[in-house]
Amino acid sequence: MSRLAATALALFLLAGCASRDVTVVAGASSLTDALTTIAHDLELRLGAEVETNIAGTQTLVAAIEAGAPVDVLIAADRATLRPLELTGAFTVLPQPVAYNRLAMIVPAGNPAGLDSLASLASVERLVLAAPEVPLGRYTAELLADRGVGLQPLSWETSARAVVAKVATGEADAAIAYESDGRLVGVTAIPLDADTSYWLGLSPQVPDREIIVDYFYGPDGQRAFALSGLQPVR
Amino acid sequence: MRHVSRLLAGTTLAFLALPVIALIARAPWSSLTGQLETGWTPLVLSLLVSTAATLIALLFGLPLAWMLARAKGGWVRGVRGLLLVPIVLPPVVSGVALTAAFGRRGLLGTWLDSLGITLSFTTAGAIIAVLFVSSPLAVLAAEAGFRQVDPDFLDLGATLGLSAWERFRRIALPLAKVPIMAGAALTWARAIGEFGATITFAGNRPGITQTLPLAVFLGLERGIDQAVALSLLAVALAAVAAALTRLGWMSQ
Amino acid sequence: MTFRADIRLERGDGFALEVEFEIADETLVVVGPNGAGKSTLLRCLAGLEPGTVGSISLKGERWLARGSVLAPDRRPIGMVFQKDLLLPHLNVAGNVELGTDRDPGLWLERLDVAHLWDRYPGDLSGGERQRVAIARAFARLPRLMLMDEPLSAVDAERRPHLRRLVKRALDESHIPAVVVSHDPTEAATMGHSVLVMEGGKVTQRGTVDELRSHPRSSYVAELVGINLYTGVASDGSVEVADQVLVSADHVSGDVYVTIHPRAVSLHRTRPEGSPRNSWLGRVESVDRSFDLVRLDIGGPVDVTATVTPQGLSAVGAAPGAPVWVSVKASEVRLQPR
Repeated sequence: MSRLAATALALFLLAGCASRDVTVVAGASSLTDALTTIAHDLELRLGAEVETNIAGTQTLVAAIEAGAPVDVLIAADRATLRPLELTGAFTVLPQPVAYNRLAMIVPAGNPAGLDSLASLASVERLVLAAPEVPLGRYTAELLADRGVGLQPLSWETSARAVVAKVATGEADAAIAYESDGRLVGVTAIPLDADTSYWLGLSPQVPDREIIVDYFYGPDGQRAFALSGLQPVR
Repeated sequence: MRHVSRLLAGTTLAFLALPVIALIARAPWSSLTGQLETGWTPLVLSLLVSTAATLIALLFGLPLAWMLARAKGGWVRGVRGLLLVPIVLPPVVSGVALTAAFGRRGLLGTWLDSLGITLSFTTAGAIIAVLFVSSPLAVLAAEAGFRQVDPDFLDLGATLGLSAWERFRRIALPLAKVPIMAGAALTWARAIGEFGATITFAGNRPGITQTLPLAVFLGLERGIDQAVALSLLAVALAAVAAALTRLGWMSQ
Repeated sequence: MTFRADIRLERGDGFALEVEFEIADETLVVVGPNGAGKSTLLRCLAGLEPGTVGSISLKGERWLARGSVLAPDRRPIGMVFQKDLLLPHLNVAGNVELGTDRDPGLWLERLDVAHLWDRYPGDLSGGERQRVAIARAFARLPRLMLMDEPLSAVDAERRPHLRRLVKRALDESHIPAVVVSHDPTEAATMGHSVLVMEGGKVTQRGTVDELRSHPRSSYVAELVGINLYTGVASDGSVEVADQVLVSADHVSGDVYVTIHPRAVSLHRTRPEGSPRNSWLGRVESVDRSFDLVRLDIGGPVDVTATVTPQGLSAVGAAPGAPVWVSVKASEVRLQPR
């Protein structure tokens, strides 16, 4: 009985031990493909282990506020980062590190022949991102700008979830990132609206210069392109 | 040895109690009413969906449990294994599976769609999602309950002229009442807490499929205060469920 | 109303049952040692043993026949099990009316449990619960009553009273009944005839007197208290154990030897006079039951004697004491085997 207890306790403690030699790079879910390359590139440059953490931007921020050890954060919108900046947990670089564009997501081949934002009003099974997530905020801004009112069937909690609904045939149309249009089973029709990704660094991150140079340099930009993002101008 | 076991027991209790206590402590008591405004609809929806799912689970599950309890063949083990799958599957995977089955392009869904019936993105869909993950609990608990009914009681019922249905209703059910009720409480509690399957299959539609856990998750996006406030509602529900299990209707 | 049964059952553990009998509106008491299959017999008659083959019919109505079986819940039977099996979630009245829509009041009164009608089984004594179970079986006005040791749950003091209640209920209902018992007094008083089962088969059927005068197995002999031996006789003389017994029956060959316990006389000293059979024995045990005393006496041949309490004190027999035994030749009965 006591041997079992000791083993359990040891495993428990080991699991909790985070080695501080690891650099943690967290990114929004749209960056899933890019982050593997980013992690690999950064490992070569830093000569240290790099771990990635992918989740909705909001979830990541909440985790960081609660003390999760994230060194580099690539966020899908600026507003979410403000609380982190205020507490000094992160410094955000003044320039976006990549861009994306909003697009209408429709089933592959666009069977309904949707061609404009206004045409979405006729779609009964439309899904949008919930306004609490970055994509949702961008969508709301876009719709307000263009004066289009849409009543979606469901407010999804992440960009990937939005697209998945169209991909499985549960929804007939959605608004998400153009980069998400590369997924199987859907077609993206770009809307003329840009969204930006921002780079946040924690004060303890080692080799700041190397990291910043990487992200804004050709290699980092190539990594972002893997996720279908647009390069910095 | 007694001290070690007390220490382990105490640690377990503390571990389970601490997050709940921390939650209550962390709550934004001053702004609570405001934060809770958005919580009432999800709360009511959760109650509706979970209660409906629990009743359906009992209605369809009790006969199955009865069959399993009295069966002698090896197929019982197979069915029990099948019942464990929804319990073991990660909820989101359950949601994906439900979409594959009942979604518009799903195995059964295509046929339903041709009849004009859509299940995804509806309250019915939310009920199905929680039903899938929680009904096995009802069936397994009821089966265990039926198993411990002395078969002599059923023989007696036969000699009194009671039909098979009457023996089930008037003898087996009352005798297995306690385990069945415990199973129902567990089912209800699991249904209340379901998130992954609901959001994947039924989507997030305020007032229609946005149950309390979904609201809490979105509340998290809006700010931790909101999430904690809504979580308090969930804790209150848990307290109610716990109280119900202690009430008279749970005991003989 | 005739109830006929001719059945066979083979159980997975190797036990085989084969019973055939017929009764009118009377009570048949089934006796036998443990494991004889008495309870199984009742279950077969009730339809609770699916492997039963043969035929069962009540007044021509076929319950079991080649190719057809009537389910137990369709048979108009009442059954009292060894366990009272009262449903704990129903009160006494609820239990008794379980098998019928009629008012259970009459049967509650008959079994003397009417005053307990709203109590729950958990609050009743073993005897009270058994009476409720019996009332429950009768309440549905069955056309065949099956009872498995109905008095065993009741303590010895109250047994005679319950026995009388049950017997009266059986007599007044004019239905055939099969009652399992292991108590010879029950067998004697409750039934009109007795069916003896051993090892799944019937070894004897008859009235108690018939069993008493012509026991066919040592079980039956012991049951009715008789001394039974086997031996080879030579014109009325037969050696049993270490004693030669002389009988007035001039029989030769393989025989059953029976001596009724009442025919065994006990003496302090060697008896004089006519008894042809006498020997010195030792009292092994003394058992008082009802108005008789039974003594088991060891010696050249082991014998059981029954005497009145006065007779006992006259001879001064106590366990361990020596006692002279004598039996008249006319009381040693020989029957060809």
